[in-house]
Amino acid sequence: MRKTRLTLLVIAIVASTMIPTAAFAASGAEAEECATHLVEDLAAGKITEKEAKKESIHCFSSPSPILPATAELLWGGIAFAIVAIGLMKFGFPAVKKGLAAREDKIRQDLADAETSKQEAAAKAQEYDDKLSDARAEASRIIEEAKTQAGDVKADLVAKAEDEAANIRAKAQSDAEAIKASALNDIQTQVAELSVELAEKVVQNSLDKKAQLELVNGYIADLSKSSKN
Amino acid sequence: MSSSKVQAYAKSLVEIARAENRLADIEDELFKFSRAVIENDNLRMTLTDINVPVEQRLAVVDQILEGKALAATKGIVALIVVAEHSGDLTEIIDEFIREAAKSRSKESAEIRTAVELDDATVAKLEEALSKATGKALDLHVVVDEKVLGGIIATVGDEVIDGSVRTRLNKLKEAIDG
Repeated sequence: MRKTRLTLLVIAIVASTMIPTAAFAASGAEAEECATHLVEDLAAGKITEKEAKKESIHCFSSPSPILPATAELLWGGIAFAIVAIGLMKFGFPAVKKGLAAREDKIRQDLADAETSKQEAAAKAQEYDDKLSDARAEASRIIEEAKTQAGDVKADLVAKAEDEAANIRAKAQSDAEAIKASALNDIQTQVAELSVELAEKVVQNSLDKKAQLELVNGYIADLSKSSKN
Repeated sequence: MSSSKVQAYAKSLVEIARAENRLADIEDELFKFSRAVIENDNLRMTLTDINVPVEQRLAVVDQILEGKALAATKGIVALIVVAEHSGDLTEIIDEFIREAAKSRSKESAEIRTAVELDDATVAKLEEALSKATGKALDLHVVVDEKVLGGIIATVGDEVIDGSVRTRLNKLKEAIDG
């Protein structure tokens, strides 16, 4: 703020000095004219020699580099006044307005930043809370899973024991069935072998005479049954 | 083939046999041929195979019956084969035998034995079976070694089994439990 004001003041001073620059120039023609006037005045007796000498110093001396001429000072003052009034009328209010706006913006930014900071803090708190909740939930789930795992394990053990018992029972049942089947097969084979053996014995022992005796026996049985 | 068609064929063939005045012989030869067809799978399949030309099937029939059967018997079998009724041949012959027996006011009976029976034994058997069943019977004896010994008589639906084979089968059942 202060730096801006200082810059504006320097600009005003430079501008005021630029306008009356021509007034400071002390050219040779002016010195010659001044000296001519002095000579004419001295010749006319309007001034004394002493005064002429004194004035001549003024004719040939260059203007002060520090102290401006009166006209220059006047024009410079007027220019300065115009610039200063322009600045005061238009520049300073605009600058002031811009500064105020900037100050408001900065203040708003600061307020926003504060709000954001508070929001961020709230969010962070919220995240912390959620994290805590999540951790608590995770712990609960883990505990629950452990409990369920225990239950599942117990179920699996029970099922495995049941299955083992069923397998044992089935194996025993199968073994008994196989045993019964084998016994049955053996019995069948024994029966078949016995009949085959008996068949061979019968075939060898039944000669024509025995065959006819069997036929006659059949006829006799028929006769008996018809009598009964 | 419907049963009425089988009966019609059987009655017609009985009339042919009767016309030839050789009903009993033809009946006996047809019975033996029928049993040969039942027991011989190859013969049965050849006679019933429609892919085998009829001429070839007739040649098989001729080869089997040549010198062993009357011309009328061969003609009857040939008629059934040519008419494409080989699949019903045994059924037609069975019906033929029933019709022939009926024409003599008798019923047909199948006798299975392990050995050949002489005429006297067959006569005694016929008498005994007739008394036992109360029916006048015509016996057709089939020698079947599977019987082993004794007799299996079939009269209509009735079976009178006195065979050694059946006794052995009962023994097997008893051992088998």
